[in-house]
Amino acid sequence: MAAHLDAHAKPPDSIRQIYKHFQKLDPRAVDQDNGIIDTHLLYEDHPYMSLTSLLQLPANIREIFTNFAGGQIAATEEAKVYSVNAIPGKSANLNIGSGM
Amino acid sequence: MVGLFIYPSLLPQEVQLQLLAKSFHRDLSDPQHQTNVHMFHHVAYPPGSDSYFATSAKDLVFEPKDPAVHKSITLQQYLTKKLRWITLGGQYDWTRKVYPDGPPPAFPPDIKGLVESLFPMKAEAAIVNLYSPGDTLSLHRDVSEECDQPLASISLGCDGIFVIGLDGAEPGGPARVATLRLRSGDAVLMSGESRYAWHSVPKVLEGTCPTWMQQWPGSEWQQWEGWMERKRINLNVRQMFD
Repeated sequence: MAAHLDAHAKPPDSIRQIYKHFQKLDPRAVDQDNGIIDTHLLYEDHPYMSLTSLLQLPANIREIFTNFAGGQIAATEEAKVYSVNAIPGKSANLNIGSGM
Repeated sequence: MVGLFIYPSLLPQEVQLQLLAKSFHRDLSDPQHQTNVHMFHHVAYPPGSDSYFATSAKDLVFEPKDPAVHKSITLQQYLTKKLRWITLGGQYDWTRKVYPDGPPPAFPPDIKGLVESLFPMKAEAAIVNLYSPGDTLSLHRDVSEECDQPLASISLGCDGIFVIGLDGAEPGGPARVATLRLRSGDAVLMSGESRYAWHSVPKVLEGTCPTWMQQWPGSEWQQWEGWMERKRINLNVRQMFD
């Protein structure tokens, strides 16, 4: 067990408020909530995500996928890895304390 | 956020469908892989390790361990709403929040090979979480593994909203939080400081399962065609030891 952390600890209030916000959010409002990073809408100058070379996908990734699938796979775009480099968790519709 | 990586649309359609097939047609029928239902019910298995989606499983009934407390579960109830997680490999004790003593059962080698090829970690234990729209996963930290190795998370089916956060970088400072809309085929790697971040799924979005996956397991499985249309599956893989 990660010795320094308590499995039964309670989460910080500020993170819990964000959880509750999205739990209560009308699903129809999700597309308009600019506090959400959509993994299909990432781009080069994204404010919170950046392409990273810290993690390399294997050069034979297509072969790995073909072996796992047990047959040919359709052509796909080159896979990319992004790192989250900021703290965009709050929604524009949220007002959580001065720190958020 | 230090150590949090996103792999959008990493898995091709064929790989996603194979992951569903291996997890639900094969591994779910293997008694060494426990489920949440095992806690309070005697789990019935299809004959000959058939899939639970096969006709041979249709009359299975799961009797409660304590009839005074729980009711029996039909196969329909099991696959539609009662089955919430399956463990592969190391069997995490969710009630006590520890791994049991003794060596864990083997992790399915094909899924292990795939995960270890893609991510910088050993695949030793996994939890397959099942969600329907309306289901949530409360904020928690995965702190029970005995090592600081990364955790990989693969999404299949309906989109999920994923909230992940850390305490402030300085004592009393603001929490650092990211909210992501994860889609089928995406992967997330939680490593470094983010390995033990608070995380949760506050919402699963109905009507977002990719059209090519909605009909899974497909017409050959008769009454279950379209099961995936209202499901989000998350394959959450950990390394247990350094």
